[in-house]
Amino acid sequence: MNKYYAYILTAAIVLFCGVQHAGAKSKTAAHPSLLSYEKLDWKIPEGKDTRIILKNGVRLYIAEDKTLPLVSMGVIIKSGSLLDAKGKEGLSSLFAVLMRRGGVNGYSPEMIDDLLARYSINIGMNSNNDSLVFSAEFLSEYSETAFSLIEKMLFNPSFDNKILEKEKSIASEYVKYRFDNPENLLEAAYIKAMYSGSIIAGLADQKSITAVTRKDLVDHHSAVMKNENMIVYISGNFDKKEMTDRLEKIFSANTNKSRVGSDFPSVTINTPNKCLIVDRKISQSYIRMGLPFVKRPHPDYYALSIAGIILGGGGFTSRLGSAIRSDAGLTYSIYSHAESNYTFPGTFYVDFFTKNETSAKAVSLCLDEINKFLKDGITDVELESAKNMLIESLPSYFRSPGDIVSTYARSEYSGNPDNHYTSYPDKIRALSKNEVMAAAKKYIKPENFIYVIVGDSDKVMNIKERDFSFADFSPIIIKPEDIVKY
Amino acid sequence: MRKIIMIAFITFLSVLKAEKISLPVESFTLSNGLKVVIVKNNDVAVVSCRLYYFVGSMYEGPGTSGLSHMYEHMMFKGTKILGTKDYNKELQYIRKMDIIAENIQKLKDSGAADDDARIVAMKKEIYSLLTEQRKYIKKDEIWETYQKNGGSKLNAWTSDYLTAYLVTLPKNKVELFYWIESDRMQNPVLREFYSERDVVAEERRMRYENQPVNSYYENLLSRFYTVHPFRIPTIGYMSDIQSYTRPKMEEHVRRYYTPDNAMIVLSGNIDSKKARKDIEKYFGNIPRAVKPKQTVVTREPVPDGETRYIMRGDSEPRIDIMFHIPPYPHNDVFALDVIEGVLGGRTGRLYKRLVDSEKLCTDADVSNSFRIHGGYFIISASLIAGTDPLTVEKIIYDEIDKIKTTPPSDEEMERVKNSIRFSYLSGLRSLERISDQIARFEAMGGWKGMFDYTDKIISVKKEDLPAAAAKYMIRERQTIGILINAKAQQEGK
Repeated sequence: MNKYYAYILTAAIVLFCGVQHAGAKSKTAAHPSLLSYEKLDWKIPEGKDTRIILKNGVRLYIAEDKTLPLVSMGVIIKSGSLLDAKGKEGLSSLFAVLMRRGGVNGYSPEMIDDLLARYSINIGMNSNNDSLVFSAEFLSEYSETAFSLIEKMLFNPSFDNKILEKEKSIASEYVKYRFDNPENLLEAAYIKAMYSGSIIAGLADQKSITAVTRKDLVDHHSAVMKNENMIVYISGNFDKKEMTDRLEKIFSANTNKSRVGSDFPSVTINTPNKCLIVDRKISQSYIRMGLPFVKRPHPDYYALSIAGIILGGGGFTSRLGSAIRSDAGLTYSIYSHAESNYTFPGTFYVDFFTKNETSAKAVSLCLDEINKFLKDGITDVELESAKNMLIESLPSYFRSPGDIVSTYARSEYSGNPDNHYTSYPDKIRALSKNEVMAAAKKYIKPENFIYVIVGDSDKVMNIKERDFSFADFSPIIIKPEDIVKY
Repeated sequence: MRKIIMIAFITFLSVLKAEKISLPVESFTLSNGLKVVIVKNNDVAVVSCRLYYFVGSMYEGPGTSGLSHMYEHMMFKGTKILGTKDYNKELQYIRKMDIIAENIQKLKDSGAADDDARIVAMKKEIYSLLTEQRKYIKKDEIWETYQKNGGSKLNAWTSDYLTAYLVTLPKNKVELFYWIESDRMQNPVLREFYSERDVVAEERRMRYENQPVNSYYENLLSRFYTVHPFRIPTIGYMSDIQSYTRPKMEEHVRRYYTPDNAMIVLSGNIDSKKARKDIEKYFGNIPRAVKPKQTVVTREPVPDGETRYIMRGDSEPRIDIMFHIPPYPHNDVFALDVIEGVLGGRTGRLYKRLVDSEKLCTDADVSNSFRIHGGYFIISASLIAGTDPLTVEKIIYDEIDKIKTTPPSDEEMERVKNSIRFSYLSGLRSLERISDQIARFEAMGGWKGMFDYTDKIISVKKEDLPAAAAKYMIRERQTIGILINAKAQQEGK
């Protein structure tokens, strides 16, 4: 069953978050800050040790890992929903689904499904804004079967019409309920508000899904599935040399020389309205306050990230978390986030939910904290703590050969240099308080916040607390069903 | 004392073999009952450190529902040492707030509503006292300490009978985990209790009031388990949350958060000899619970009829059919797992029938959720607008009847067993998942069961399946849930 529902049903709730026994302690340190640790004998792994360029131009990250009889593979493809034509929103998602389920030349979709299931070869494809990611995981004993199918699925998909119609019908049903969860509705409304009129703000609906044809998928395949558009990563139980030869052969089968380009269109931030309320009669308001930020790589990115951690990142320890959640008890979750976007400019935002009746109070308290942050600056302890959080947790992200190859493949896809991770700790350590605050003052301008709210508009509009009221912004109020055309 | 404790170690060192994989596992138990399991993996530079308490909503009842979950939040508030500038000065405020909270409860007991002016004024007074207390509080020191020392996957979770405190640390900093967790076990302080109670109420609103599908499942489960405390939602009922008091919580903590009801699982690059010495040093002197843990003796009776629950809400329409199954490790549980594989998944019989052939649903799946005391086998389908749930129910029963009468094909058996093997091996790649599975199996009777699981599945014969299906998938004892979306229903007409 859908694991999400299984999760809810078992009532296992994953959450953030005294009684006294008189046990005498025999600790070596009176406080954890007095503990001393051995030096960590670990270095950030180099990605270049695993990088190969195949004769056919495909960039490959490869590493053996014989600890388990498994193989994991990924292919990052330059594509994504940014390439969806107007009126055909949803094409990229359907393309990803049909690549997996639409059959291949010589095998029906049902045969492919049965073969994959029989040998537990787990293949999927995800469509993001600016990438498509093909993934495969399987038992190494079934490598022959797996690679034979992978080659066909990548380069000879048949995009079976019957399956396309079925998946279009499922997608059309999905769009009816996608905003049942107010958080999803807020996310969509926020993108509409921050990137007004841009291709990124386009949402698939039944009409745009219906408009997608098999020819669209075939054309899309021709435009994006070129070797120069792909970065491959693979790890697992194999011989590196043999696997490299195998991949060389598989990708040489790709004869796609299409001249159709797949460059992403320009996306810019455009915020014609100060406040957007999506009127939904629920007990809480879901609120996001956003500001324009930058496209990476950018010299201000790390400085504002650190500012964001101190202000509203880093779990409970942030200033906003302390003031709005812990002190005032107004929300279960509040955070700020400096988006990391490499294809178009990201935003900086504060996100939380609270009862409709306390929405104005919560925003007002947020603004107070942000103004205090900008006025008083950050402390040495806060800066040190935020830097440590980023640097000391690195071993956790490079645990296995699989982590190394996938991380470096994604990094190269983003356009980072090969020393991106090895130079990262020094870049973070070098940031001063002044640099962090300069970035904060440059981008976090409270008077410029764009407010997006999903909640009961009657209640939200009628409240004025601590001199704050959404009504002062003359908000645009829309119904949830109008979000697509907004 | 130290000598006695060392002698009392119960040690188990083995190399457990499954799928030709050697997983070096070491376990021991301190004399105060604290269980420890260490899984070594020297290829990584980190250690997943997890402390599990064998408590959750199964040990709660009317008025106390959600206490374990609330305590999950409170554990981050600190101890007598962590999170405070002067614990003794904090105490005076804590006691005053307790008295006010008690008076609020008395008013509520006498019929006053939450918006009664006296209650509103008293709540304000609590927040004023909190403001004063905060002069002596160091906010979120535990969280910050873990984080600045490279703690990742820092979190906690609560379920029916297990609560976990989690952090993954660089391999050189595991001692920090021992320090903080032993301190939290001995000296927790329930500071900022009443404001955190409001946070939990907001969380409940977010998870259930504004997401009808979650509310639907909460209600369905409480109809499936009519007497067993599995019916209690882990987050607690809203009225209970709003009536929590610190003394009530203290009683819960005294009873369950003790070394004899806990287990540490360390998974990663760790020197087990040093770990054992350090764990003894930090946790060895913490006393057991004064009163032994009360066991849950209630068992769900065999239903004497079917139950139907129908809810209308703004959500994707769906149908769920639930059956009671025996407690793990009853042998039939494994046969039911194989049935799950035959019926469920995208290549399972139900998806092929309901989605591919009949085109009545957008999804169909199955889950055999085994647990102590008795779990459930659930079949779920998401309906296309206008689909009559009764038609889907009929088709599901048609497929159940086939399973009851005819064993699956060899190909189906191969598919299911390969899938379970893959999931097992894939799970071994995650230090954190290994830890959680060890704790889960320990809570169900013994962690070594985790390593027997695939063998038990492999030993299931296709001829076992019809008998298992016939024994448990009985229509007259089912619980059915139907979630209707009025708009979608209209659209289908």
